[in-house]
Amino acid sequence: MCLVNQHSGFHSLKNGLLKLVLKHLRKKLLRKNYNQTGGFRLKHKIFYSFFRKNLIIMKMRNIKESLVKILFFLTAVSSIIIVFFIFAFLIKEGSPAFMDVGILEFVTGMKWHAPADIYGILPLIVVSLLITFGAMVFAVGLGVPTAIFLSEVAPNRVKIILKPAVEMLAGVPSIVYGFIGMVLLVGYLGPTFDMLTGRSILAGSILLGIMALPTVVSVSEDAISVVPTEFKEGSLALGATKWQTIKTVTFPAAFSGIAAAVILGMGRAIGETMAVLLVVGNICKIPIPFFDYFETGQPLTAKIAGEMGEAGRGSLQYHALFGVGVTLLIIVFILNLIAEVVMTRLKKKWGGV
Amino acid sequence: MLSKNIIRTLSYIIIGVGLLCSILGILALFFYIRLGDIFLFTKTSLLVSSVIIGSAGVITFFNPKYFKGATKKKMIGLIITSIIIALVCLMMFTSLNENFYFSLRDYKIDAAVRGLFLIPLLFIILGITIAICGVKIRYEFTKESDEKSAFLLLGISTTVVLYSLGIIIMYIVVNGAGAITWEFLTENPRKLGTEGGIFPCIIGTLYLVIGAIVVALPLGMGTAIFLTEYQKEGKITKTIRVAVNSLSGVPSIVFGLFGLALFVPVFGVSLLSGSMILGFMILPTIIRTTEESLKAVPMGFREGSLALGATKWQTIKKVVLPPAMPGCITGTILGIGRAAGETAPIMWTAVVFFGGDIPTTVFDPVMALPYHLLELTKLIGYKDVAGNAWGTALVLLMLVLSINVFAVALRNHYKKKMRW
Repeated sequence: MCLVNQHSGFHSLKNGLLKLVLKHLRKKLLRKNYNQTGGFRLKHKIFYSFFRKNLIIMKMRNIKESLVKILFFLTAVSSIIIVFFIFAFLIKEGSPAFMDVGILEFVTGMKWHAPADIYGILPLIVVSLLITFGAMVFAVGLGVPTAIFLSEVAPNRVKIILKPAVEMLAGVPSIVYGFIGMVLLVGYLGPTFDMLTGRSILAGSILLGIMALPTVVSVSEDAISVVPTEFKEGSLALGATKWQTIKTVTFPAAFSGIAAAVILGMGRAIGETMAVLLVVGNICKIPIPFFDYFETGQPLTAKIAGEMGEAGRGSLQYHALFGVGVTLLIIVFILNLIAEVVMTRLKKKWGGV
Repeated sequence: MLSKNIIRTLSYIIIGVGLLCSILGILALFFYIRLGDIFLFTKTSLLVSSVIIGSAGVITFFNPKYFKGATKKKMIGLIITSIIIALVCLMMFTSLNENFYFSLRDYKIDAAVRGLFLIPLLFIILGITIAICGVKIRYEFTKESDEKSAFLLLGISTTVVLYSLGIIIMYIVVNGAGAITWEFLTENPRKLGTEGGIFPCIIGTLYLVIGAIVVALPLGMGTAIFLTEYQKEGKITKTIRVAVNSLSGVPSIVFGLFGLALFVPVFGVSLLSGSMILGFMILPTIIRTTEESLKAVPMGFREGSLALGATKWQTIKKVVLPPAMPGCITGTILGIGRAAGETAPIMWTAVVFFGGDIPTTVFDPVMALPYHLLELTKLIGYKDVAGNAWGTALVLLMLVLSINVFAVALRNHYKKKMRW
């Protein structure tokens, strides 16, 4: 009886109100804090708020937590800052060349003659593209069939050994490839095709093709193996042979992934320095006719690597070499952007599976 | 009509001849083996096989039921192929033999060149074609024969890839092993690298790599933790991811230019500049692998820890990071492998070819293996450096490959161990 009396009237009203307020608070805090804190701090907050000492502990904890979060945020922003700085400093150092020579003359100029301060980089761009195209012909022609073989035909035991082995070879430093190309490839091509030294766009293409092979093989293999098994099983169940399945189902489904792999490989090949520096030669000209792979030439990267050592800091040559760097960076970024778009479309396509 | 058994045996012989011819062609192409008597044997056997294939095609053309999957269309293709092969072989017997000049613009490919390049190439192509025809006959032109011949081609391309990659490694190991002695590994280079060893280069490379890790590991791990643990997917994470992707796409020479423009004026050509540049370069690798391993830790771990009253940071420190550590270490080791082999980023920012000693402070220039190899390669033909260059290449290759093998082995070990 007594208990009932106590709970009726004023007391019960007070308790009810408190409960309401707490409920409201709980909901509001839940919504606000759940995502940041996992939602579990809230109970403590309400509980401890009746004890001041613990509240202070809570606050200290909160401060520490947010400090840690800010720290992680700062590290995460660092990569944005680095990319921004790379662009900013390259453009800053390259802009005098663009200003002095004129952007259009710089990009379309046919002649690079440092002593006379004539800077045109069209030959460099053309040779870079030629080498990249040749390298891709080698890398795709051999790499994609290899990827299909590894993922669809080879027995599992072979695949387990070969795939890591091929991936391992992607780590071989480019200077080692350059050295091998200089000693073996150039020495072989010279007498075989009756060239003066054997240094040629062809040598660069072959070398970069071999360099890009591991990347193309392993990324294409990944693209093929993400094609859902149901597709293949469906085709096989309809009576198609393994090869028909590969030809009509697996390969078309993996095509965009393979394309992205190839474009990524192109980005790598065009930015590759050390190998081409040693085997392509250092004469800045467009071969005549422009598809003559037996001529020597000089790609963008080799120009920078070859001349930066002797260019005085602050001279026009120094700035022009930075201008070459800016051009290279822009080409690579366009290629990467295309690869990214292709990849995103691929993800959308297989997103549901 | 011939019995099926004889046809089968014949087709196996044809496949064997085709593959043998292409292997001989490859050997001749890469090792300068003069074909000589083998040349006569290969072209004769190719001619005979093409005649057999052609006659099989003609017989089946008039009697299409002889082979299971044969149609008139396929037979016409087979006959044409065999005629082409036979013609090319006959050409090798007559005109290509002595004074056939193949003019490629102004490159006169003379007899020696034909022996070295054109004829081996022809043998490879003809041999593969013959082998495929043999496979088609063996499987009687059915769907299966398409499959087998396609798989044969795929297998050949795989062999070529493995062969060309293997031969590079083999050449370096065989030629470099002779140059490696105790003195080579422990002495300073003398007289432009023609004498002495590469000790400072090895130490310099190690210093650069350690510096790169000191720069990249905290930044990379912090970024990965922020992306996976703190921030919900949205604009901020998207921007950071775009930046990381762009960073991984920047060519190594551009990193070199960047270092030259930003760090060299401040720190000079020094270990510090090089380490920072290499650290920035391997940052994306570390971020990606760490992120992957953080994502692989089940959500239940985090929820359990938070339910016990632990804060976010405590949860990350005590619960999330320990199981993600192997993945993170793998990424770091892969990054080390890349940093150790790069030349272009450190060319103007950190290294010198001579006069560099083991650095005492971070503001001293260093020597590094890749740059040393570059300079030695440039000197080939002018100075007697070939032996030392092979040795340097072998040391660098072994360093990088063993780092990568270690990383992959570690990853596989923990992949097996961590199953929840």
